[in-house]
Amino acid sequence: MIFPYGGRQESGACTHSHSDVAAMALRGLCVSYAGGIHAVCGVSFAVKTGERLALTGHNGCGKSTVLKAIAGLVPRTEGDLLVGGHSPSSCRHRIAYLAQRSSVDWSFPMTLMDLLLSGRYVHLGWLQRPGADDRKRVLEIAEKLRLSPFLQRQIGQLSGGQQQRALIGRALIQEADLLLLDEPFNALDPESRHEMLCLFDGLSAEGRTLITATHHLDDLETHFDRQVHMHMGRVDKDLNLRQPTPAAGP
Amino acid sequence: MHWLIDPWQDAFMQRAFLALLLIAPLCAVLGCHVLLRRIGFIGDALAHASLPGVAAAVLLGLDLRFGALIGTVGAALLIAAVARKGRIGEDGALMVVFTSMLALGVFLLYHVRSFQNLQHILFGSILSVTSRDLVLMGIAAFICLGILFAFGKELALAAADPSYAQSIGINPDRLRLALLLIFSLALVSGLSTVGVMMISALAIIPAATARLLCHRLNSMMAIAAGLALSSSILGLYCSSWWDCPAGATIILIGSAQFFSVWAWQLIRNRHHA
Repeated sequence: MIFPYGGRQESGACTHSHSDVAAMALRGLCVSYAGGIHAVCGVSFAVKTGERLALTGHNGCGKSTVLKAIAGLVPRTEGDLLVGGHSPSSCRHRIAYLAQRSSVDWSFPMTLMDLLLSGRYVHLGWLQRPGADDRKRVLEIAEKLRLSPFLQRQIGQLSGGQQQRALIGRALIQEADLLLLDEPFNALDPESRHEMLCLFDGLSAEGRTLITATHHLDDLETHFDRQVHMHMGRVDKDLNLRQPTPAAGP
Repeated sequence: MHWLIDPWQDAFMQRAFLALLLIAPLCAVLGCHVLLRRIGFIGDALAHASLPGVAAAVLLGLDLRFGALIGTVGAALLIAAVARKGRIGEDGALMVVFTSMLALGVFLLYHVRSFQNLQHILFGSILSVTSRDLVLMGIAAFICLGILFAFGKELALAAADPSYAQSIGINPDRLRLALLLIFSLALVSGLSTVGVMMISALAIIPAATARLLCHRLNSMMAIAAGLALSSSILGLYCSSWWDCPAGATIILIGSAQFFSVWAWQLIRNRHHA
C-alpha cells in the first residue's frame, strides 16, 4: 500500500494478538456531544478473542455510541481503548464497523460485487484499485455466505437478510477480526435472524470477536457468551452467559 | 448531406464543438456524483454564487472567469463550513449561502453600468468561445477528471456508506468538499457555453437520465457523458439550422432525453405490472 488511509500506520505494530491479550479493552470511556452532554460515561469492559458479546439496553442508552467510539467514528472525550493490545488508530483494518442497515444508501448504483470489493480498500489505500487477488477473495467469501448468485445485482435488489450477510461478507473480506455490529437483526424476519445468529456462531468458532448492539433478547443465552447491559450511558450489568452469575466488574 | 456538414465549415462552430466536447461530458460525470449525494441543487447554487465574483471582477477590471471562480469556490467553502459548524444542516447552509451570494451579486451588478460584458456569462455564448477559452477548459477537464479517476472508489464508498468509509480512515467531509471544489471548477470553466442560468442543468439532467437507465456508477457516468455530448451536438445543429439560442436548445434536448426515458420506463413498468 503506497498511500494508506488516515490513521493507519504501516509500522507492523498491529499484528494479530495472542490469545491471552483482550481482543478489545475499553476503560472509562466517555463520549460527549455538542453542548457537553454525555452520551456515555465511565464505560469499561473487555472482550476476549472469539467472544460474542451482546450490548443491550433501551433505545438511547448509548449502545451505538460505544460501538462508534470503538470504530473511531466519534471522538472519545475520556477513556482508553486498546485493540489486541494496540492503539486502534494503527488497527483500522482489524476492526469492521457494520452500521445499521438504514445508514447505507441501498439505492446507490453499486452491485454486490462492488460492495464486497470495498472491504479490500483499507488494504489498498488511496490510488490503488482492487486486483485479481482481491476479486478472488470476494468470490471465496461470497461462496461461503451463499451470496454468489447475486454478485451482479444492484445492492437495493437484495433481501434484508442478504444485505446483512453482504455487510458481514465485507467485514470478512476486510479480514477484520473484531466485528462491531449495530442492530444487525433490525427488520429481519425470524428465519433470517436465525441464519444470522448461526453465522455469528461460525465466525466466533473461527476466532473472530463480535460485539453486537441489539435489543432482541430472545436468543442471547444460546448465541452469545456475554451480555453487557447499558442504562443511561453507563454499564448496568456485565453478565457471563456461560455461567449464570454476574461477572466481576472490569 | 450538406445540411450535416455545412455547419462545421465555420471556425466558430468548430470551437463551439470542441468546447462542448470538453465541458459537457465533464459536467455530466461530476453531475452523477452530485446527484447521487442528493445535492443536485448545489450546482445551481454554485453557478449563481459566481455572480458576485463576476461583478467584482468587472468593477476591478479583472478576468471575469477568475472572478467567477473565486465566487464559486468561496461559496463551496462557505457552504461546507456553515453545514459542518452550524445546526442548520446542509440544505439550510446551501440556501443561506446561495441567496446571500445572489443578493450580493445583484447588489454589485447594480453598480456595473453596462451589462454588455456580462451577457455571455449570464446566458452563455457558445459560438463566441475563443481558443484561450478552450485551453482553460482543457486544463479544467484534465484536473477534474484526474481527481475523479484517482479518488473515484473513495468518492463512491463515502457516498454509499459514509460510516464504513469513515471507520477505515476515509474522511467523507473532506471528500465531499473536494467534490464541490472540482464541481465549481467545472461549472466556471463551462459558464461561457450555456451561462450561469443553465450550467447546472448540463451536469444534472444527463446524470438524472442515466440514473434511470443503469445500476452501476461507471455505466451511469459513461451514459451521462454520452447523453450530454449527444444533446450538445444536436443542440449545436439545431441552433445552426434554425437560428435559435444554442445553450437553451442544448438543455431542452437534454430535458427531452430525460422525459423520453422517464415516460418509456413508466409505460414499461405499467406493462409489466
